[in-house]
Amino acid sequence: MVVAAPWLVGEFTGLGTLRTMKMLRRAIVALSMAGAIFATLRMRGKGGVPPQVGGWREVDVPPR
Amino acid sequence: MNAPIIGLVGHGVTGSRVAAHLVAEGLRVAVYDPAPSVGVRSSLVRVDDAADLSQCDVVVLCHPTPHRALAERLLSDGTAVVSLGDDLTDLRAMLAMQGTAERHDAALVVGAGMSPGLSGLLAASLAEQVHTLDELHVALHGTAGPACARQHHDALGDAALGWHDGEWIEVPGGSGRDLVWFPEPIGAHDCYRAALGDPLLLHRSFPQAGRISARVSATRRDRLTARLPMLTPPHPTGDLGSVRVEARGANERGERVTVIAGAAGPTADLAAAVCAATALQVVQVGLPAGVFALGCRALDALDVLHHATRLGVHVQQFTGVARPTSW
Repeated sequence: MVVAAPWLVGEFTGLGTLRTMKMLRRAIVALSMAGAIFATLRMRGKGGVPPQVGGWREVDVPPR
Repeated sequence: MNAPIIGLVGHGVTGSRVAAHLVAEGLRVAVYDPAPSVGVRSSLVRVDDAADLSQCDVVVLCHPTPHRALAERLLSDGTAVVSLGDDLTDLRAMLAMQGTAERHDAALVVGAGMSPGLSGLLAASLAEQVHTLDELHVALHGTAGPACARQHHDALGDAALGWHDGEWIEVPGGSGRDLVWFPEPIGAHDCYRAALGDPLLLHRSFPQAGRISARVSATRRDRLTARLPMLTPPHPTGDLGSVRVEARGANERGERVTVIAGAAGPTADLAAAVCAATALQVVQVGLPAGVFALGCRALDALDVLHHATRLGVHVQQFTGVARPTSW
């Protein structure tokens, strides 16, 4: 019979599992929050639409 | 009659171009720069102390900011001064020297570069095209010499100044992203608010405008590192740049109109042409005692703009249908 090392058993049962899950949940929440903040920052700037008509043309500035 | 003498402080990327313009116009130029980054030509007279320039008809300040202390010293000697500086704090300090200028019967022109400077001249040109002027929005791209690049870097990390519905507002630098179409070959760039001097000077020249803002183009890296020292050394000779000014208002029938003008080219060339044109205007036409910004009535903006175009600035106007931005 193979007996798992006590430290390995501790990882998957009782307090060890709880700690792992909590850490995983925190990581997911942190990533989600970072994503939400990034998306908000990206969306807030309105950017622009390329001009569809016309463009830049050089103009003369006559003397006064 | 002898040709007027123009004093020049700072013979760097922009200063050397200003000197070349002034010499080409037949003026004598005396230069003070203890460590010029660009070789001083034999046609220029070098002086050992900036105080020696107080004998000149006009002194042009092209050295890295601050300019306030030297401008005050020259004004106290009754010498007219043209400053290329664009540092917001320095501009505020120089605008406060109205009393000094009047006491010593001398004129001080501040912000005589690309932005502020050309932006004010373009705004004056656009203001003539609308019946009532309500808003002015400036965007700039590019830097002239290394000092200019450092200034833009710092500006992006400082609080930006804006005039909004009759009061000054301060918003964080690097905020307010907007995609701006500059004249070709610059094209589209994301621009952000920064501690730029344009709103301060434009409000002085166009008090009727209810909203004035200024933005500078920046990359994500620029914004991320704005509050840190510059990570990469600036380009030694500057790069291509552009300024774009948007004026909003109404025509005679009360209909909303938006007019847009800009210019593009090597940033140092644009700044130098405007600075030289301003110095020429001060020497040839003269100015009453006081502190002035480009675009104000006392300094005939369209005449200066005409001189600047003669020195190589190509003014462009957007002829399409302007779409509203988030400004």
